[in-house]
Amino acid sequence: MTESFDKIIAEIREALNISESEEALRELRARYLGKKGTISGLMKNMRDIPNEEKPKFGSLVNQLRQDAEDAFQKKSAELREKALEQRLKREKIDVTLDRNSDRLGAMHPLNQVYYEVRDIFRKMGFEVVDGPEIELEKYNFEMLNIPKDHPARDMQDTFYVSDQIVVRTQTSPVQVRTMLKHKPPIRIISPGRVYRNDDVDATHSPVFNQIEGLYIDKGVTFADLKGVLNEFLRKLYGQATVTKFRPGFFPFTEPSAEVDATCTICGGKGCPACKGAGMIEVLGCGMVNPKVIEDCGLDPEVYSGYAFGLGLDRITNIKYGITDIRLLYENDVRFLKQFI
Amino acid sequence: MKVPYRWLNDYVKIDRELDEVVDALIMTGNAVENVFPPREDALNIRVGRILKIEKHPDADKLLVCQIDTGEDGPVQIVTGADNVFEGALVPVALHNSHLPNGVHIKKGKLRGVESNGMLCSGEELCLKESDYPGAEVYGILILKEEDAYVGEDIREVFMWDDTVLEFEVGANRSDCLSVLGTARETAASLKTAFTLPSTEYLHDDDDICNHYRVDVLDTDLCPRYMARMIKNVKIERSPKWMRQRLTAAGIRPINNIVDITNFVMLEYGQPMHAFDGRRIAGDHIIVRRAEEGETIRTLDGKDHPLSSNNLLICDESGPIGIAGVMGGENSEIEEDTDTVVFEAAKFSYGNIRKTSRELGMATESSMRFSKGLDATICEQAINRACELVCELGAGEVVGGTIDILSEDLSPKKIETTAAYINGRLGTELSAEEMASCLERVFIRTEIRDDTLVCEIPRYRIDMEGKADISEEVARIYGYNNIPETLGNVHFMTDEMPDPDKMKSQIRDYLTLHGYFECVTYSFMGMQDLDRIGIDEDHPLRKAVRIINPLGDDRAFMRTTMLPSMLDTVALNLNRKNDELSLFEIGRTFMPETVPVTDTLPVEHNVLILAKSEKAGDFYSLKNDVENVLFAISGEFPRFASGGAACWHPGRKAVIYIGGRPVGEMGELHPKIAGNYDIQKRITLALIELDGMEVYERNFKYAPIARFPAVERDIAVIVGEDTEAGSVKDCIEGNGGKYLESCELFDVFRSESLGEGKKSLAFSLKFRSPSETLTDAIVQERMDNIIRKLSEDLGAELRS
Repeated sequence: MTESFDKIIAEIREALNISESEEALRELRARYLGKKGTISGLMKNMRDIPNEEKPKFGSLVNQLRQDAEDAFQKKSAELREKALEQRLKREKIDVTLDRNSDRLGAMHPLNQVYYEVRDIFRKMGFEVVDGPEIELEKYNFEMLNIPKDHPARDMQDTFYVSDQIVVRTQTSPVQVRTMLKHKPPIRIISPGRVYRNDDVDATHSPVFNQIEGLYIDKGVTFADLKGVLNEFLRKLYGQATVTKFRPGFFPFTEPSAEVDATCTICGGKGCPACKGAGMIEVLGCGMVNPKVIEDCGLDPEVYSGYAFGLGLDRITNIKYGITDIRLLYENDVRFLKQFI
Repeated sequence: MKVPYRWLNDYVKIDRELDEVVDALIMTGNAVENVFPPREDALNIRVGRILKIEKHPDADKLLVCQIDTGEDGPVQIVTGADNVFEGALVPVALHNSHLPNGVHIKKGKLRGVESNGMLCSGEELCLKESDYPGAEVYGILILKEEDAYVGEDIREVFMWDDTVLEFEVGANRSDCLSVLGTARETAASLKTAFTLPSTEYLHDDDDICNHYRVDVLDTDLCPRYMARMIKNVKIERSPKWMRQRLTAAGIRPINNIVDITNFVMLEYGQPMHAFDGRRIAGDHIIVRRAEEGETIRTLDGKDHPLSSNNLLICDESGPIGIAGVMGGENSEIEEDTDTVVFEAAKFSYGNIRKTSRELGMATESSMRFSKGLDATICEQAINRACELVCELGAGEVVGGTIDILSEDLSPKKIETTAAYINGRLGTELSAEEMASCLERVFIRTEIRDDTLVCEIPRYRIDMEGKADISEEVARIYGYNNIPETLGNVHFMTDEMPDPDKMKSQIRDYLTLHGYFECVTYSFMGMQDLDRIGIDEDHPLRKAVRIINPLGDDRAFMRTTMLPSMLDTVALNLNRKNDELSLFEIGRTFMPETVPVTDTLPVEHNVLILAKSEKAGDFYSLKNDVENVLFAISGEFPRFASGGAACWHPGRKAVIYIGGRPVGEMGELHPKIAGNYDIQKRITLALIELDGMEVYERNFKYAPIARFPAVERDIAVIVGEDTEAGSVKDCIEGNGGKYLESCELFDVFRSESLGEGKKSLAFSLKFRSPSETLTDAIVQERMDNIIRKLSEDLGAELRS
């Protein structure tokens, strides 16, 4: 009897060997393990088996069923494995191809540099304050110690809207507005667009961007101004940056200074960008003129402060080696793509 | 301000190298803009005298000259020029010389005759007629006897051998628009001595008052008017030294009298004028405002209409000069002028500035007056002019001075304390150290206890208060010597809103999704509005007009960001940059009324987005608009078809946040695109950012649903005009509280549906947070939805 069982299992194994599809497997299974299959048929022989051998016969049939089941499982697993293998092989893709979509864009270089500058000052406790671009002449000039007919107005070619209103030439009016509204300590930067009546060329633009800063408090000194700006310039251009404070003139500060920093392009050796000087002018600053403080309703005997300003376009051009300011406002995508 | 170095050396002792001097000047705030070194490109060219001229034996057109160049024996040179003559002084390029035009001269033979150099023309020396008379004559440059001597280096003749410093003078330092001013600063910077020029001269016993009378009618515009008279004037060329200095400083020599006035202006910073004494009608000078309609012809031959804003110098017949700007042609110094009246005056700087602008005349004189001058300089200047008249032998000075003065000339004093200055600078200087800094810039300082009493030189019109004293101390002490501290930093106590927050969120999203940020000018012209099809009476035409714009196309502050973005798109497409995803965050300016008088316009922050067809269509831009608006407002916008006429009529939408329209998007109307020569489809969105609440991300966790969702699909047939959005709204509005989501997944049109019909298929998900939903409950909701779709939108269920 065991021989015939062995024969069945051998038969199944042989049949499985040559089966290459799930479908063939299903047919085979039906043939051997189905309700009317060979193995189920064996159980029908039970009644011809002597009683004392029935348990043994039963367990042998079960064993056979188990072996057959295992063989099917094994074969089925093999087939699945093979099918997966084939699928994976079939699904090979050319990874060098692109879909050409969903590329990164970029912020305008001016704003990238603005964010960089802003973040340095924020870490030093400066708040960002905004103000109107069309401004009262009073705030743009008068309250900054630049009365009508003052020669300092020649320094700035102004777009006029009316007798009393100008398109701002500097972001300093934001400082005036802040001093009028807030009590010291005042510690702000005011970024934004400013306008000058200049014809467009490689170094002039009627629209450009400034970042100005103001700190008003008790006991602020010129030495503090030097400290904060040197810290800023070292953070922006690197720890090795050397600076030079030169006396300068701005009507709203006294004393005033212009600040040079090591040329970032040549590292101080001298190059065309710095006209061989190794240093490049980056900032204007000074101690806020007591008259300005007083006009803004604060007592100059109690409060002092410093102010500084930098041209964002200039800083950006120096940083990226841009030689023509017009590129910044032309927005050619091939230019913008260089700043991703 | 160009200052010849030798001139500077006359008044200040300079004992250091040039670059040290320049550095020292810069560090005291005297910006040296340029240093023009002596010329190195004219070597071995000397002045020679032609002793003898003979014909060349073998060439008709050549001459053989024997020339004395100050060396032993004459030099033989062959020339082809025919304007030479025996006894002439000429520039001689000797053997092995270099000309400014780059030519290298060596000796050689011309048709067999030895020539040891070359005689030079003005052109070969790169001179113009304005540089030297006769420079543009065809032939050899003939030098005047008084200008050169035999053997002199040509660089000396034309003052090419001196260094010239060019100063950028601050708007507050009118005193430094002069050789003496820069000399004083140089002395202060180098700690060396400064001397003033001589103003000693002889005059006769007569008095100008016997000959001329001056009346100043508008003393508010002319606080001082001084006049002196010169008789027996001989108009000649000025001596070489004077002409050289004027030329080096950038002023063209004219004649001795005019040159003296210019020389004094350069030296003292005080503009002067010389009138032909014969041409002053009635011998009476009147300083007054112009009458309306009055005109004057100035020295440059131009006629100027005048108004009562302009101050005039007149005689009894009318104007003879525009005060502080330019003299009149009628009183100009002429070759036969025998009497001269010198004027040195102080005019109100505001008035000169205005007149100079109004008339479009910026002269050396108006430039100085409009920065403000002190009245005491008039006297020094007019005396120096008289001294120079004597020195040059240009005439005889008549005694007496007319001086009409209405200004208080008492000394200006400022008091401050060492503590104040130290407190401002962060230094620890003693009062004595401060005083010694101040003395170096000629501020006489008396120390009383801790108080500094400073007497300010009157020419320092920039000095007004204690802060100015601190600046003088700082710049002489040296900015570099001031310590570097961070002080006691106090942060602001008031809460300051962050103006960048919303913009940063926009920039973050868009740049991560392929957009490039643009920055364009904030101007526009009315033609830009024409181009985007804005009606004549549209509110966008109510714009802030600039009184003095750069041009028609930039005459207004923009009321819309569309034109500048379209210009940017057009520029890029034109350059074959076809794939464009662009945005700009900028401002538009909306005045309450036009013209703007005293009320500031409202400024709006606006976001504009643009995509070219290669980068995406309406729906891809819409997707980005949705996400950007969600990022900044925490709310998905709603879109309803509609919007301005600049859009494609079938592809435009108004964008709503919280029920409020915040902008529009659409495909650009082909006609508008045509106005910009754009052939591609462009989709744009304009969103106003103001008034949108910044999305504060105050998240609160909600439990994740444990019960399964029941999903149902529904397909309805509606008319072509029915928008998917309204079908979706209807489903969502009637789906009950368990309707979790509703997504459109198919739009289908076919003949079987019928003309003008479409099928919209939605996938719906129902879920309860507290139980597994039964079919019955969901079916009830579905029935409700279907009924409402049919009632409200005439939609039928597609079987």
